[in-house]
Amino acid sequence: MPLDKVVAGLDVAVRDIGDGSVLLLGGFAGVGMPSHLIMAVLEKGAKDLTIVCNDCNGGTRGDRLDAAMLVDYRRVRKAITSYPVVTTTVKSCSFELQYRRGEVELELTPQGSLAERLRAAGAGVPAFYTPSGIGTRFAKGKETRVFDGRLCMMERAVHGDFALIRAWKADRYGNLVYRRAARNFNPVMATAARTTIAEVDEVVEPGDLDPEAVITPGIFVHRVVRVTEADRRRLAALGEKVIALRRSIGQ
Amino acid sequence: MNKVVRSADEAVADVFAGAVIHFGGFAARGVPYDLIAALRRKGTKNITAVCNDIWGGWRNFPDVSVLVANKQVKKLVATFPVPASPTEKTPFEEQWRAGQIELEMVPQGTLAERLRAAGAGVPAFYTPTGFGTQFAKGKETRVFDGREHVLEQALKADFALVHAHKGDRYGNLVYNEAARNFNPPMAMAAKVTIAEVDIIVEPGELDPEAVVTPGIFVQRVVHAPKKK
Repeated sequence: MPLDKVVAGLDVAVRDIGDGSVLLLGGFAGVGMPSHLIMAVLEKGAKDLTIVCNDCNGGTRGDRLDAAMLVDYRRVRKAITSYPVVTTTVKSCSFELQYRRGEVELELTPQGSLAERLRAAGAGVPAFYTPSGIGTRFAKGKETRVFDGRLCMMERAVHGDFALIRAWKADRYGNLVYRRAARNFNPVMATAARTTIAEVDEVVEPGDLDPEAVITPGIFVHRVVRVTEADRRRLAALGEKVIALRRSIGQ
Repeated sequence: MNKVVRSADEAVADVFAGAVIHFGGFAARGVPYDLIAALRRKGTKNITAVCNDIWGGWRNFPDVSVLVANKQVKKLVATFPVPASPTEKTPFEEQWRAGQIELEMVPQGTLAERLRAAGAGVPAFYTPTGFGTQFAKGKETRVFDGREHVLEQALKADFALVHAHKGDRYGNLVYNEAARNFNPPMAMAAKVTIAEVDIIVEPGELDPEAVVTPGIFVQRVVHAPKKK
């Protein structure tokens, strides 16, 4: 039987994501988000999750259907992220409200360090040093050391149980290419989880992708799901509820 | 912006004695042959050369081994300083046994990671590779997740001489198959990166999604059309 990682649909793709899972979630400020896979995890009811993501605040307009949806519906126990809240003092978001009530844990990480922690996990490197964060509260409680006359701090790799990835095209072997800024955290996350699941616009046959242009080799990918029109309608319906919920809390 | 220079000789004109230089390539593929030939003509001495291997000295292709044979290399940082099964002594081996050239041997994956770390601004990292062997000698070790690791340092250079398939005038590079190898991490890990390319193209011709080395990492591009 030839190798084929394409699965029948979103719900099959997330079937084994259980309570307490560590999820790596692609996306950056509303671009390259695995929204449909996140919807499937949400509707499955999985809770007590640790999410690793660039941002989980839903955006200043409250319209991002990304990792923030899991926070909105109280499925998140802990977030490892760079932008947990909305970058304006006027509006709030679910994460901020839950954080202030002590209902969610936060591990705030500088953005470059977050990318590097994920990359290290995928590369088999348990820890590395970086100058980022020195002299700020990011350095609190971290080991520091001087290299070439410059103080650096030690960061640990971040591994996930599952990586939910948004890519542009996949072939049946799981090779992935991305589109423009939608690339962002997806490639490093794809290497850093035990099970990597990718949602894509288009599935092609092995050989159709230019090998030189493949960004994520299929060896890192376990499941591929093509987003259908029905999936998009389902997300749109969920989106209306999510936005209404966010409006109701002042976002 | 136009990073194309007229010749390999012009490209390496400011390489100075005692420089640390990364040389791309893996067993004859992706080696910056024209730039190496120019460096040999220039005769720059006391180079610290960083490369995967110098098998050219055994299999007769003009890689970094020609600089070693010409006594221009003071120190070699490499994974394969000698072939896996040598039948005759190479110039490197003769100089090494005579104490005329220094050697730092690095496991191959660690070499790639040390180069990448230098390009990424990471001064040091831990890896399990090499623990319990002579590669760990003199290095710090530490346990993570119940496993012993070795602390390795980033490997920066003054110059990186790389080979790519196509380069545009902004220095964006794409590679061809196995000729990619160490070139991308080396291109990021030096103060001055010089790329010799098979084909020069205009900005816009390379698919942006397929660019492997963004031009920001590259200072000079020289056309090195394939011989034969």
